[in-house]
Amino acid sequence: MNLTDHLEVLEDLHHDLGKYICFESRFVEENATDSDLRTALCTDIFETRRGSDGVLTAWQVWERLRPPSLEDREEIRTIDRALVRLSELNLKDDSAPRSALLEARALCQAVAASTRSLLKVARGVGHG
Amino acid sequence: MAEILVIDDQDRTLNLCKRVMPEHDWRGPARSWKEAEEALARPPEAVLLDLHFEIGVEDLIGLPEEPSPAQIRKVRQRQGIHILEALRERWPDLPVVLMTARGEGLEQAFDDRQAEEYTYFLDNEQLDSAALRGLVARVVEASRGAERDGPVYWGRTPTLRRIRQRLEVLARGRLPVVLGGATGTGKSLIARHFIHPKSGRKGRFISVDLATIPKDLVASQLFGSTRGSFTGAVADRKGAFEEADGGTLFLDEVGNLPEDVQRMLLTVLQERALSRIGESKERAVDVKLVVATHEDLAARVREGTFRADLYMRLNPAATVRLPPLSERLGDLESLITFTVGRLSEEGALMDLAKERLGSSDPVQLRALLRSDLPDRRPGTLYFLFPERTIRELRRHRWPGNLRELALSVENALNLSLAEAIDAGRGPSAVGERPDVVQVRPKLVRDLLQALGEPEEPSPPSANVTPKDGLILPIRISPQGGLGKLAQDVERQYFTALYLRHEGDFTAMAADLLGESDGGRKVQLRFNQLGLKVRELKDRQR
Repeated sequence: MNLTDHLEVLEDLHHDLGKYICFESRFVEENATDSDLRTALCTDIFETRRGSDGVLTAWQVWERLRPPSLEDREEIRTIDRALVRLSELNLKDDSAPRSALLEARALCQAVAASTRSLLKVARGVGHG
Repeated sequence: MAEILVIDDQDRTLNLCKRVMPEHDWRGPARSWKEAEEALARPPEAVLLDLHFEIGVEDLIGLPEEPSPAQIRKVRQRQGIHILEALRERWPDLPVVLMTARGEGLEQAFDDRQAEEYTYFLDNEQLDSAALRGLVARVVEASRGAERDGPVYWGRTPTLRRIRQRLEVLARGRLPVVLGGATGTGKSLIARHFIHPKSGRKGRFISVDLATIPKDLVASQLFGSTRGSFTGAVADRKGAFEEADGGTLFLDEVGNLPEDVQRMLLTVLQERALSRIGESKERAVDVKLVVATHEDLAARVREGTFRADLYMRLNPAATVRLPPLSERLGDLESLITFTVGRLSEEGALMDLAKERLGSSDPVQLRALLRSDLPDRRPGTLYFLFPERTIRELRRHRWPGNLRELALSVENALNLSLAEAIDAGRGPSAVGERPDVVQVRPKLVRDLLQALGEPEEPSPPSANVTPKDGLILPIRISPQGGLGKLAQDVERQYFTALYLRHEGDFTAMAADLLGESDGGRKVQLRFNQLGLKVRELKDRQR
C-alpha cells in the first residue's frame, strides 16, 4: 500500500483528529484534580473540532476522514480500537474513576501517535 | 502579566492558554489576517500564531490569482506563515510564537524564520504545560528586555521601535545626536537613560538646560572660567564640557545658544578641545554631545539666527524627532501600565496604598486594563482602568505629552485611592475587593479638562482623605482682581463638593462646616456664587 496516494487525507486526519484529540488533556498536570482532567478530556473527545458545520466529536471526525483503503495498517486498527474503548469509558459521568481518566488520556495520545506515524510514512520520512 | 494576542481560527488555543497561563492577559482569537491587523492596532507584548487556518477563501492571504483547489488547500495549511510575513512588514520585532511542529513539511520556512530574532517555534507535539509556560515566559521576558531601558518606555508601535533602533546606533557613534520633538516627549529622559548608557562611555552624564541660563553666563557654564575672568568669577571653575569629559553632554534647548557661544561651541566640536573663559590654555575634551530642541533649527538657519556651520556640525541629517503622544496613542495603554509600574518603583502613593490594604509592608502598584480581575496577590494593589476611562484618556489631546500623561496618571491614582479609602469600601463595579481601586472615567475627565481645556470650565473632582481634608485640583486663571479670584476658587470648590455629594446640601454642610443642619446656609452661599443646580445636574449626566 502506497500511503503517498493518501497524503491529503492523512494530513487532514493528523491535523483534525491527531492534533486536537489530546490538545488540552496533555497540558493537564499530573497533580491536577480528576475534575480538571475530565473537563480537558471531554473537550478533546466530544468537541474535537469546530468548523463551519458546528462542533464535531472525535468519532465524527474519524468517520469523515478514515481512509477505507488503509484497513490493513496497524495505525488504523489502533485508532479504531482506541475510539471504541473511549466510548465505553463514560467520561461524561462524574463518577468515572481516575484510572478510567488516565486510560482515556493514554488512548487519546495513542490516536495522535498513530495519525503522526501515518503522515510520516506518507511523506516518506517514516517506515512503511 | 503580559498582554498576548492569539491568532487562530479556532477557540481552543486561546482557551487552553487562559487555563494554563491565567497570569497573562489573553486577547483574541483573531481568526484571520484581517482580524489580526485590527487587533494589532493596539500591539500586544507577544503573539501566538497558529499555522493551519480552515477559513473562507475570502479571508485567506497569500493566494495566487485564480487559485486551484490544491493551491487553496496549501495556503490554508500554511496561512500562519503568510500571516507572519504580513505581520513582519509592520511589526518587525514583535515576538511571535508560531504554534506548529516540525515534520509539517515546513522545514525550509522554519529555517528562514529562525534567522529572525523575534520568531519562536513551538514544537507542539512534544509540549507540556510547563514547557509552554516556560516558552511564553521567555518570549515575554525577551520582549520586555528589549523595551525596558530604565525609565524610558519605547512602546510597541513601529515608529517608536524604529526610533529606538536608530538611537542605539547613533549612541555608539562619535557624532552628535540631535533630538527634536515637542516639550514633554521625553528628549531629556532618552538622552540620560538611553543614549548615555548605550554610548558605552564611562564618564558622567551632564545636562545643561540652555533655556534657564542667563545669556551672559552660558559660555562660562559650558566651557568653564578662570578666577577674575568676569565679575563674580572668584575661583577657577570647570565647565559642563570638562565635567562630561569621557561621558555625555546634553544641551537642552540648543536653539537658545547666544550667537557668540555658537561660534565657541563650533570651535570645540571641530578641535575637540576648549579654553576656559579668561585663559588661553587648551584642554582636550572627549564628549558625546546630544542636543535637543523643540524648534526647527533649519528654519532658524534660514532666518540667520542660528549659525549654518554649527548646524551642519551637529549632524542634522541624523536628527531624531520624538513623536507627540497624540501620534502614538496605540501605546497609550502600555504607557499607563508602564507609568503605574514606575510610580510603584519610586514608592509613590505608598502611605495611601498601605492604608488601603491595611498593610505595613511595601505595596506593589499595578494597572489593570481589563475587567477580568486577577487572583489576589499579597502586597499588590490594582488600579482598574475601565474601558470608559481609557476612552477619556484617548480623547485628550495631550499637549504636554508624556510628562502630562505621567502627572495625570499619578493624580488619578492618588485621587482614586483617597476616594476609595474615604468611602471605606471597594468600588461597586468590581465588588468588594480592597486590593482593587477603580479609576473612574468622570474623575479622569475632570482632571484632563482642568489640565487641558480651560476654555470649557469643568467640574473639578474633590476627594476627602481622612487626615488631610479635601484634595481639589483648582484651575487658576486671571480674574481681574483678588476678590474675583477668590470667588472663582470658591465656585470651583462648591461645584466639586456639590458633584461629590450628588446635590445633597446637608452632606456638603457636614464637610464644609461640620454641621449636619447647615444645608440651608450652604445653599444660600451656593446661590450667591451664581451656581445653577440645573447646569450641574447636566454635567453629572
